Amino acid sequence: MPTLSVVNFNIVCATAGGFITLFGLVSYLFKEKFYLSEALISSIFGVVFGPHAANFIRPLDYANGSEIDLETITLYFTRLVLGVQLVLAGVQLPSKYLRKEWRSLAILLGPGMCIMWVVTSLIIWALVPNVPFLFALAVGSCVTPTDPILSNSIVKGKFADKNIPPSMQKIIIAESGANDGLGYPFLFLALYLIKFTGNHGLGVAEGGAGKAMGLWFGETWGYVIILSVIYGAVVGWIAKELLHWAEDRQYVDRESFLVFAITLAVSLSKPM
Amino acid sequence: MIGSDDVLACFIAGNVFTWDDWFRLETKDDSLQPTIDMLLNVGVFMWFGAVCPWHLFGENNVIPIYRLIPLGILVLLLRRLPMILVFHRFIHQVEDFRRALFLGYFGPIGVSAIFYLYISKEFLRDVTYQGGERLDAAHLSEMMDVVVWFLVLCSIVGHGLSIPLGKLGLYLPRTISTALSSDRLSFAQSTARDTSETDLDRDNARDIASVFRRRRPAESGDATPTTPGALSRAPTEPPTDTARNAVKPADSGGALDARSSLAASNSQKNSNARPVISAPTNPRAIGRAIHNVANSTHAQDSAERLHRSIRFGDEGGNAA
Repeated sequence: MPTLSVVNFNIVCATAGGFITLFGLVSYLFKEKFYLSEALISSIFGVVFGPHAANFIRPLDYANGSEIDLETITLYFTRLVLGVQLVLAGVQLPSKYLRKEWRSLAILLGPGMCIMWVVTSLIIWALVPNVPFLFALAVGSCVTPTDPILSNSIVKGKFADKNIPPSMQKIIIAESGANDGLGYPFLFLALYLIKFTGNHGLGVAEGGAGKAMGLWFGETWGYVIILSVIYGAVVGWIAKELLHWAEDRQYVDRESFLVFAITLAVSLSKPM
Repeated sequence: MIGSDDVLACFIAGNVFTWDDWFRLETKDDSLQPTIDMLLNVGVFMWFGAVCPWHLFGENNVIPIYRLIPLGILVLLLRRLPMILVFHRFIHQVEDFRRALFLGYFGPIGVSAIFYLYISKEFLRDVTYQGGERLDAAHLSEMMDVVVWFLVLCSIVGHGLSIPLGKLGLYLPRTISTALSSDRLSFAQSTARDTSETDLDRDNARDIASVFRRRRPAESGDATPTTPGALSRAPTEPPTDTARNAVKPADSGGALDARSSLAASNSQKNSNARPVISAPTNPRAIGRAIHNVANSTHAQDSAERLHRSIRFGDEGGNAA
């Protein structure tokens, strides 16, 4: 007798797989004719089948009911997606792009990001009642980086090919790729200051603002940013040399060759 | 493992990985990467739709909904636009004000915002006082939850819908796209090209011009020796003039005729001095001359002309 095995795993496979399949049938229509981004459509699907409506997808169940575990799952999921997307963004850019276009990028990433950060924080500070500016800075820093994934949907497709010149497509990709990682200094400047000076001195960690700034320069800039740049550059270079070496000797098959950048991204984004 | 910024490391690694352009060109036409890209995007945004804390927007201790909505609108409009408008003259990729508007408006907030949101919540959980999470940290944590999630939703909906709404005829993106086509229009008028094509055409035209220049000697080599009678009428224009003609490949109007006959009369005397094959000539003018003078080769040459014009269409279509 046929029975339905209603396990979460099966439900997720059925709904998500079914959605992607069905959406695939009309994807060209939606994306290239109606110019609707797949992000919007998938989010609507997530809402409809999520716990707020149909309750087919129950994220909290997968985290065994723990909110914190759910947050961690989301954090690692976004980290994986960002990692893969950013490696692909880096791969898409032409040779030596970062060095060639450093002038434009420096403006967008230096003063540009600072202004975006401050403006966003000011709006938040003005509209959220009773909140210190430092808190607004912390929230603002989260939304300062432009998103490579949503940018991609703007930069790709028929609309972009018609209306955005290739040089501008490339600068959008480069900017959204680079500023994602550079959100760290903004965020941690605010977070360290809150940790070491906030709460009217009650329960504040030892050290005050001096310690906060020390941590910010040492940890965030010295450790996180500079080390990541070096680490990324070294790994990227070694991967390139290895792939060249193997390709020259014809050790690589086509499938592995194509997937190389993606697996590189997965391996980079996990252990760190 | 070493607690560094993997997101930045990934971007740098991808960039360095294809520093010599080798991998990029090898995989450019392959659809594996876009496919995985699409699957991950659909997956992550589906997850967002499911985990988004909808109930928080209505009831929270931070901000009422009637302030949250203006907050979202203001952030979308002011976060990036003024900055780009100020700086766009320093960014040479942004050629004019309209493109600056586009670049300024489309600065989406998305996966990275959620990433930073949970990084900070993780950090704030460790800010403790008397055994529990410090009160202000807990407050900030809730505020971030509400505001960041709301801004992400605003961006998904706002940026996701502006292009379709604009296509429906609402005003903002239409101004962008007409703006983008305005300089194209003036260019197209001068060249009598199809105005529905993109303004990338300017670049294309330059490419076509160079292709044309390369192709020229062979063509004139084909065409001219068979039609000796046409030579006296065929314009042997100076190279600079030809280059200008080549930039406007579809020009078949009377202006060209006038110019070519003028050039023909000009070049009557030096056509003898100048070796014909090396002299760059306008193919259409040659075709016309053939049509007038040498009817015997007409069919063959008009076929060649047809072939050539098809090639133009393809070149435009491929690059656009």
